[in-house]
Amino acid sequence: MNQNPNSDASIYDADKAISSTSGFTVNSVQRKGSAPTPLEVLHGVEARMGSAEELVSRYAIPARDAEFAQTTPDLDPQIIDHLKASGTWPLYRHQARSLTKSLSGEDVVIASSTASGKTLCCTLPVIDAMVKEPGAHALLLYPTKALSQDQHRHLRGLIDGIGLSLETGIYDGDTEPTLRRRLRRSGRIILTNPDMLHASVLPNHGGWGAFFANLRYVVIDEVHTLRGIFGSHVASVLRRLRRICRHHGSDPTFIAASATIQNPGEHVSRLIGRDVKVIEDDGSPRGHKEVVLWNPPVIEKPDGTLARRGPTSVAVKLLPELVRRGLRTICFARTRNSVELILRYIRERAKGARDREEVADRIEPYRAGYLPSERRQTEASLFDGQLGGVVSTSALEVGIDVGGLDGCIIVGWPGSVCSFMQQAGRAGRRQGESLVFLIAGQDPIDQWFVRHPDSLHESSPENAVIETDNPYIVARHLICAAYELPLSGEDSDLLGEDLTAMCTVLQEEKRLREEGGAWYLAREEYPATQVKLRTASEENFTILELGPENVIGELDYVAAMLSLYEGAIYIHRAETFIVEEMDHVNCLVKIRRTKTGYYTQVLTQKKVTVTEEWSHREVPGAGSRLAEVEVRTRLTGYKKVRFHSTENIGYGEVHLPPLELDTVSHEISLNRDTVLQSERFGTAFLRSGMHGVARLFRDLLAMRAMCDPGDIDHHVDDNLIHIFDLYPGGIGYSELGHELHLSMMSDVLEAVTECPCAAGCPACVLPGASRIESALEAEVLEYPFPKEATRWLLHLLLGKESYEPQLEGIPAPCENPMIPVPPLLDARVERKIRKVARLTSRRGRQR
Amino acid sequence: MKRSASERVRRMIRKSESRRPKTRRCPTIPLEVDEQIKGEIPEEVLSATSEDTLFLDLETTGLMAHRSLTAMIGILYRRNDTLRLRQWYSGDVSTERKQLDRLYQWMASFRTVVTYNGDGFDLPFLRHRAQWHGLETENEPQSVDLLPIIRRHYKKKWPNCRLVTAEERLLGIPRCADDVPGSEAPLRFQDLREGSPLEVITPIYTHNRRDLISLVSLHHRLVAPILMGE
Repeated sequence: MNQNPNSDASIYDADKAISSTSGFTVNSVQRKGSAPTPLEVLHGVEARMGSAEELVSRYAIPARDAEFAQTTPDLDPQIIDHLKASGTWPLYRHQARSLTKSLSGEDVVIASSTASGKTLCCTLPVIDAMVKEPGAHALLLYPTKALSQDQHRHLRGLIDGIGLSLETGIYDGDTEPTLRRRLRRSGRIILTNPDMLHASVLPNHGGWGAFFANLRYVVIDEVHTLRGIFGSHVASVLRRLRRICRHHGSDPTFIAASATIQNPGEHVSRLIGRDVKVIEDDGSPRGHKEVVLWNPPVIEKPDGTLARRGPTSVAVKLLPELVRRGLRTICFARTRNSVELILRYIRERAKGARDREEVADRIEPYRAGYLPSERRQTEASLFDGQLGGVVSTSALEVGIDVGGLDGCIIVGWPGSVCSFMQQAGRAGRRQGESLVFLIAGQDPIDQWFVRHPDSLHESSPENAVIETDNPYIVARHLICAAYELPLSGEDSDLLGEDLTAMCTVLQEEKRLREEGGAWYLAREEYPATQVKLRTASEENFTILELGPENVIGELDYVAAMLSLYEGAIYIHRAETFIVEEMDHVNCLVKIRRTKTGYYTQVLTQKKVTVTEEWSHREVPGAGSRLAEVEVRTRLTGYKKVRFHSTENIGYGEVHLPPLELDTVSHEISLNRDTVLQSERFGTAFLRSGMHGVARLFRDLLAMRAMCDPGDIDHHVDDNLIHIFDLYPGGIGYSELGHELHLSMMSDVLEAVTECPCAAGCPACVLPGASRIESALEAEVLEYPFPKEATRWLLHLLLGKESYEPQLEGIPAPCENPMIPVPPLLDARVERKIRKVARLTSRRGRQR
Repeated sequence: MKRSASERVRRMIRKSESRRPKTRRCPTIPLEVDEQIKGEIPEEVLSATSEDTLFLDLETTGLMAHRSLTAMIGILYRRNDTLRLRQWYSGDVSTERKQLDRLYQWMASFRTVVTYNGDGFDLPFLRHRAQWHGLETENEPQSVDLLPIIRRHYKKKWPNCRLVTAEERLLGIPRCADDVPGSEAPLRFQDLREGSPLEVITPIYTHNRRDLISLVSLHHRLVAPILMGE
C-alpha cells in the first residue's frame, strides 16, 4: 500500500516536507534549498520579536499520517483512472466511506477539517452519476457567489481531466440571461446559492425542462454557515426543493460538507428533513502545526497612563517578517478597515528599503468591497505562490482554495471557536510544518483567553442551531410553496404536520384559497421576492474614482452607509480617498484620490422606539412588555483619526438617513422604585447592572429559543432594557422572552452566581466586545464591579430580598476600553464574540 | 398547531398586509357562456360533423405553460341540429383547477378533439397545467390538429398558415373588422385582472367563438374528404 511519504517525517526535517507529493500539490512552490523551515522561523521570531511576556503560550498540534481506504468505492473506471493519473489515489479512508454511502443513495454529511478532501466526496458521486446515467442532473449549493466560482473551476478541471463533455454552469444573480436560458434547457450540473434557489429556480421549476425530473444529487457545501435565521430559512427552501422533485418524480440524494462543528449529523438532518449518515473520522494527513498566543505589550502613553498596544501593531511587523523568510502567510483581521490599516502600515514601514519594499509588494489585501475580478486575481496568485502574503477579512475563511499556506496570523479573537479553527486551518494544509499566531486584542474576551490559554485548544466548536418549526419562517415559505405548486395535505410529510392548520389560518387571512382539496395563492403575486433569506441587503453601491473615472469596487448597502458617507476617508488597497458624493438614487459613490494623515470612523447612536404595544404585565421591580418597535441606528457624525497614534483630530457631520429595522421587542422597564433604590450606588452602577442583565438575558434566551445569539440584540436606554429580534417583522424570540420573563431571570441569576470569577468576566456579565457607541458605554465598560451590580439588580427583578453588593476588592479586568478605539465592529463579528462568551460560560459552570 | 403559533402567524400576515400597498384581488368572474348556435354554418357541414367530435381552442395569459394561466377554455360540439358553444373563464389558479377538472371530465365522453395547432400548443399547455394542479390527464381524446394538414397543402402557396388565412382562402369568409388578433388576449386578460371593465375581454370571446366555428367548417373541408377516401 502506498504510504504517505511524509508520514514519518520529523517535524524538523524540512526536506521531507518539501519533497512530499501525495495529494494535491499542483501549487507546491519549491522552497530554495537554504530557506528556513517554519519552525526555524518561529525560533527566530521568538528570539527577536516578542518578549516572554508577550508570547503567552504555545502549543503544538502534532503531525498525523494519512489513513488510506482499504476498499474501492464503486466508481466508474474512467474516474478511477483519472484519480490515479492525477495522484489522488488511493483515497483517504473517510473519502471512500463517504463515496460508498453516497453511491448507494444514502444521505451523508462529511464533517472534517479544512483541506481533508471534502470536495471530492461531493463531486465524485455527481460525476459518476453523469457517466453512468446519461440523463442525470445535479444541483450544487454554495453559500456565496465567490465560492460557486471557485468550485466551478475545480469541477471543470475534474470533468475536463476525465475527458467528459458535460454542460455545467453557475446560475446566480450575475448570470447572463442567455446563459441562464441555456443552463435551464441543457445544464447537467448547476451551481447556485440558497437565495437564488429560493427566489428564482424553485418558483420557475416548470421552466427547467428535465432538470428536476432527473435530479440525482443535491450537494450542500459549508453547511455550518447555514445556521440561525438564515439556516432556518434554508431548511424551508430545501423542503420546498424536495417537494418540487417529488412532483417531477425524482428523489435526489443529499451530500453535505461541513467544517468541524459540534453537531453535524443533527444539524444536517434538521436542515434537509431526514436522517443523514455522518462521516467524521478524517483520514487525511496533517502536518505539524504550532499555535502561538501573543499578547501585545503594555506601553506607557505620553500622559503617563498605561495601555496595551493594539494587535495590529504586532501583525504589521510579523507578517512581513514571515513573508520575508519565505513563509506564505495569511493574516486575518476582523474588519475591512483593519485590513486596509495593516496593509498601509506595512507599506509605510517598508518605504525606503528596497528589500522590504519587495516583501511589501508581495502582500495583497482581500476583503468585500473590491471588484470580483480583483478578488479572483488575488485568490489565484495566492494559490500559485506569486503572492507571499495576504491580509484578509473572514471572507477568505470559508472554502475558497488558496492552496497550502505556511503561516496564519489571526489579529484579534475571531469570535467563535469554529471561526478560529477555520482560520487556523488555512495554514499547513496537508503536510509540512505551519505556524498559527493568535494576536490578542484589547477586548475582554481576548484577554480572557490570554489568562486561560489552555481553553484555546480545549474548546470544542459550537453547535450549529436552526429552527425548523418557527411559524414566522414556515408560514412565509408555505406561501412561496403555494406559488410553486398547489398545497395539499399530502405535503405535510415535507412541509410539517401543521400544514393543514397553517393553510387554514392563511386562508382565513386571505392569502390562500382552497379549491378541490388544494390551497392556491389567493391573489396574483410572486411571493418569493418578499421573503429574504438573509437580513443583509443585496443592494450594492458602486465606487467610482474621479479623475481616472474608474470603478474601483463595490460595497453592500449597510457597509457603504458606514464607510462611504460624504467626507469619509475611504482606504482602498492602502491608498486614501475622500468621498465626494454619495448618490443614493443610482447607488454610486464618487471618491477622489487624496493624501491624508487620518482616516475616519462613523459615530452611531441606536434608538429603540415603541410603535405598538402588544401586551404588558407587571413583574417584580419592573414592567414586562411585548411591543413592536422601530430600531433606528442614526449616523450622528464621524471623527477623524490620525494614522498610527489613533488620536482624535476632529469631527464631521454625516447627513444620511438612519438605518431602520422594524421588529418586535421584549421591554423590561425598571420601576421608579428600583431606580430610586439604586441611586445610592451611583448611575454607573445601575447602567452596568442593566447591561449585565441585558447581555446575559439575551444569550440565555438564544439558548432557550435554540437560535443563534446573533439573531437577537439588546439595547439599554434610560430605565429600559430592550431585547429584540434582529429580523424585520420579528421572528418570535423576544415573544418567548416576554412569556418566560421570570424563569429567564432566575436562569440569569444562576449564571451570574455560579460563574467562578470574582468581579465579572466575559463568560458572565462583561460585554463581549468593546463598542464605540457613546460615552455611556465607556462609563459602563469602566465600571469596576459589574457582577455585583448585575446581581443586585437581578434580586430586585426576581422579587427577592435585596442583595448587598460588595463594592470593593478586586475590580473586574477592564482593559482600557478607550484606547485606541477599535474600528466599528461589524455585526457578524459581534455575534461571534457573543457565541464564545456563551460557550465559556457553560464550561465555567461545569467546574 | 398550537394556538399561540396560529395567533403569531395571523399577526404576521396582518402586519405584512397593512404594510404592503393595496393590490386588487383578481376578480373571479362567473363568466360562463353556454350558447346554442344555429344557422351559422351550412346544413351539410353540420350534419357531416360527428357528435363525438369536440372542437377546442384555448386563450391563455402567455405562451409559457409554467407561468401562464388557461384563462379561457372554448369548446364546441354538435347536438342534433345545433352547435353548443361553451366558454369558461378562469382569472386565478384556483378557478383554473375547477375549469380544467371539468374539461378533462368532459373530454372523456368524446372520441376526437379538433384544434388548430393543438398538438403544438393547446394540448401540451393543458396537460402541463393539469399536472401542475395534480389532475389526471389520461382522458384525452384522439387529437386532430388541422394546422399540419394546412401546412402540408398550402405552405408554399399562401403567405402564412394562420387560421384567419385559412378561413379566407378556403371558406371565403373574411374576418369582421372588429376582430382582435388572438395574440392580444394575454394583454386584455391582464387589463381585466388589473381592474379594467369586463368589456376588455368581450372581443376575446367573440374571437374565440369565431375560431371555433371556423374549425368546424375547416374540419369538414379538410378531414372529411380524407376519411371518405377522396
